Amino acid sequence: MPNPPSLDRALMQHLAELARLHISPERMPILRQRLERILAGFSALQGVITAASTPIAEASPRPLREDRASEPLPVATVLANAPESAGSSFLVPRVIDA
Amino acid sequence: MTSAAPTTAAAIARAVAAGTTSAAEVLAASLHRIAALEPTLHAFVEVWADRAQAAAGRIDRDRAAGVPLGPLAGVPIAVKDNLVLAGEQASAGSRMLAGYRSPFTATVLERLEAAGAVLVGRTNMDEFGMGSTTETSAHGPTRNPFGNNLVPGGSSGGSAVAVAADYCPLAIGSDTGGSVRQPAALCGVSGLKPGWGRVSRSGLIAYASSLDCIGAMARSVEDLALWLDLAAGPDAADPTSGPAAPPVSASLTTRGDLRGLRIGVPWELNGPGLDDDVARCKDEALATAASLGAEIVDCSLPAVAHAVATYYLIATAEAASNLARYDGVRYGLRRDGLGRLDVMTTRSRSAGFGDEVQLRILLGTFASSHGWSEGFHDRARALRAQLRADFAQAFARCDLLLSPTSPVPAFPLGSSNDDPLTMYLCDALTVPASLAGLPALSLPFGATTDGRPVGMQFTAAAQREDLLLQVGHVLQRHTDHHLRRALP
Amino acid sequence: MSRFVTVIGLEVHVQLATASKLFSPAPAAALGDPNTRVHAIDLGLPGVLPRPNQKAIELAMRASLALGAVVQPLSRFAREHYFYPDLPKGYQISQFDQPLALGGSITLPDGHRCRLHRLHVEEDAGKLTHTDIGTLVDLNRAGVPLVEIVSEPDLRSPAQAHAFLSELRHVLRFTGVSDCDMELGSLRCDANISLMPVGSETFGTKVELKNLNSLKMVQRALEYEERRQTAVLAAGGRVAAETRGWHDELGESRSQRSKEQAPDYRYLPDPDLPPLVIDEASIAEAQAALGELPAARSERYRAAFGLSEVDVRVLCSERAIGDWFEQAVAVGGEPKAVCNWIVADVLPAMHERNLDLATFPISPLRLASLLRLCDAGAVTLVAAKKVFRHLLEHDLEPAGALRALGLDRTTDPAVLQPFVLAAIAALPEAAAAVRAGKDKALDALKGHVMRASTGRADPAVVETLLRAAIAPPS
Ligand SMILES: [Mg+2]
Ligand SMILES: [Zn+2]
Repeated sequence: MPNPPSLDRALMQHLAELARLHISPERMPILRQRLERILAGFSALQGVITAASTPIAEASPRPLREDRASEPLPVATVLANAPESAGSSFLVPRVIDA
Repeated sequence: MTSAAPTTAAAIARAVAAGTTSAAEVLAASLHRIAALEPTLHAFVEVWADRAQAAAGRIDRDRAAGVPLGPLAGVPIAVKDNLVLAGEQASAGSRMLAGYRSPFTATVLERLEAAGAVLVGRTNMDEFGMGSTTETSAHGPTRNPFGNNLVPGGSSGGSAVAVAADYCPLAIGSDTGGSVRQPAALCGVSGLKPGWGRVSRSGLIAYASSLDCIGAMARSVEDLALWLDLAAGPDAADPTSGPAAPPVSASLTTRGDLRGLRIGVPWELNGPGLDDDVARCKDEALATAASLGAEIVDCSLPAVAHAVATYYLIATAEAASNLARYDGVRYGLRRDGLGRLDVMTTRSRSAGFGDEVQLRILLGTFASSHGWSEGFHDRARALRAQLRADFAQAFARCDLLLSPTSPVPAFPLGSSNDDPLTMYLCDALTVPASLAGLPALSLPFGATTDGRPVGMQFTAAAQREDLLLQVGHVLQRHTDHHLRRALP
Repeated sequence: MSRFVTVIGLEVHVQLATASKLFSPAPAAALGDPNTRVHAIDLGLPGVLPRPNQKAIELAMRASLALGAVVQPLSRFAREHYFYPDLPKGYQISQFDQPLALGGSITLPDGHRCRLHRLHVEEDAGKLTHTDIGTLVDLNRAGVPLVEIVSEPDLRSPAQAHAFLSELRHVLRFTGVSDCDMELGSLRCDANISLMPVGSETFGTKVELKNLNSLKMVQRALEYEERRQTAVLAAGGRVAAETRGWHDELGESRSQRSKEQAPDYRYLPDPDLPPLVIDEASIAEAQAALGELPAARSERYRAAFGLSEVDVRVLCSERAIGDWFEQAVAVGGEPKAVCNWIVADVLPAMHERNLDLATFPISPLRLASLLRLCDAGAVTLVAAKKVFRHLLEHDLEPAGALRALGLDRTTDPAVLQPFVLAAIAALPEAAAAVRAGKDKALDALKGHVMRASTGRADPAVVETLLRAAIAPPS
């Protein structure tokens, strides 16, 4: 069981990258402090012994959808909210592959 | 000016069907009141006046032509800004979705429109449902009719105010950890969170899927029952919806009093930390229930001690996941990435999401990240299972559980922002039922000495919305808390 | 002789043969202009929920059972998170710690058995095209149903990896799970490969290979990687744990990402989807619907019909071919002859006309009666082929076609004598050779007569007439 973490700069940066969020240097200490406070409050969870994890709140299985193809959305509708498009494609800045 | 007009959904539908009023007249009254009070209250993000007038006109023409009318014919309904309606905007209170228009309609709205409802506009909310005051909305705050410096609660604050200010007799909200019940309590209206899965989530902009429930607010329990019967039931568009349950409205008056009913009072939800006025109202509520024949019993939900932590870890992990789709590619806000995709996505998300949303995404990313998820998210899921088991035990002894809805009444705007943990503890009384997926009902039950409403929460076992509403109906027939209004 | 043992494991993605996508009713055919096969669900629009496709689950179960894997009574969909514009929701719905099926194996033609680790169901991503103005995003493919089949590291050579894939493809095509067309992307493969010293029990550091778009490419890339790792180890170096992309045009792999950069997918059970609960009865039903598998059918054909290995392979390549064959045999077709006709005539005609056996104009029954006419001597082989062609165009019984074409065999010397004389006149050298006692030369003359008579001539009568005309009785 991990201890209540101290969110060092590197971990904060890692989380921000995973979440695709930019944390400005001014906001970093505030966010860090808030997150740490929350997690400290939650670290009580760590000590709690629970029964083996049984399945939690979930729906009873419903009959699955029949495999029938229906009319797709018109391209104009597909692209209606797109910030940028080219032809019938969405357009984004070039993906930079590692 | 609307004093003579019918004020519940059921009464309006009856009057429209009988021809004693028209859908257009009802709507005009509603729009008039909105125009008068919105500059102060700001419950709506957008009023769909044209669309609503067209719908009202159709209903009146149908009536003239002898076409049978639906059970909500002509009833103006306000819709939380996180339910999509084809061709209309929905923003979930976020800059991220400014200008976004949905090509499809939420199942619940489809069902309400089919029943003759007139959807009047979309109501303000905390961004993506993340908040308890409606202050995290990108559209600015909504004010409580009981005091313009007071928060209406949240996240369905706009919907609660739409009912409390008599814009509409019925408003749709969504409840993930208390977002229907708590604003209903703070604004002095009745609010129902059905059990998870009872109402299709198709068309609800997700916050935390395993907790999200579409609910409603109204003046009367009778209207909530009417709404539930139309809204509930399995939906092919939501594989977690259902099963079908018998209608509730018809059985609403089966009880004259509360004899034979055991009401459990879990001490964890009724103990220290309650505002004095709230505690007093709770005692009065118990006395009322007892005077109507209910047996009041003590009970315990031990896992409630960790419910807030459990809730926030699960909700934020799911939220971080659900909000990953806002990447600036297909819809939503896009910021220039200087030719780089990852920069574009990061900038768009950083600009589109407000502070609270970003905080919760980071928390949820942490809770589900490799190396930490075992200690946090997995543990939270296990605690959730334990809480469920606690509820099951309590319902083996009791028919309903009672507690205040919120430990505190409405508080001033701007007073809650510094310490998120304190804020989150405000949800302590509502998140247990959310985690267990159980139906819960908040009823206005008295007020503080300075007149702020106080709400009581009743929680029922799975699939027992019927019992919840029957009991609520008995209480409303014997009390008048629900008739108290903030504004003339 | 190498001092190292090669250890290979494969991860194969196979597109399931459904009409609609895994979680949306949009057509699963990833064809057409970009974004013309897209539903709100595939766009990940706010408010959409996944709607699981029954057929996809059935086909995945069928694949599991065909591969001997154990379908789990309860499996679960999970979200695998990463940001990429081909992934509309920011996560892929897949299965993580509770997959649809576990275990199973594939036996290679050399008898080597490769165990399977697991089989799970997941949705495909969209397609990106990189251009000068930016990257174009097409979501036609997004949400197409896949099964991912992960092998144990039981393969010991690139050739075995190749054989594994062709066996897998065979079984999945045969059972109708997928068309397994690598060129269209309905079968895709990633490989991991490591080397360990001979005699060692501990696997070496493994490298993952991506971009393997054909069976040949899989083998070539693994052979290259085998050589590369051998060279690194032989020089006393260490193999880096990494993902490498295969560049077929260059004939080499290149590093894409090191192990330290391995992404954190933040797996989460998908709260929008109930668990998949599969009871004994539906497993039994799927098992029954599975029918005979190719291995069993091959064995039966070998035993029952005495066919060659090549013949058995063709007949068992697809279920429909064997079924067609068996129908023709059941109505009296001689197995070897039916098989020859299938290989030489039925399948080529089918491909030529872009048909499948279900819509093939000649029924197994008609082929069998055509073969009976041959056996009875009513038609020559050459004429029978003409009849076959005719039957492709006309809805007739073979006997009727024979008459319609005027191809019924003739033994009448008066009809045949002119053909015989013409052949001798056309091929005087062959006639001279026959006269000189070289019987072999008779074949050329006979062939001439057969061609000139459009196959109607009875070969026995022709031979008698030829001999009589070339060497008058002494
Ligand atoms: Mg995968
Ligand atoms: Zn995969």
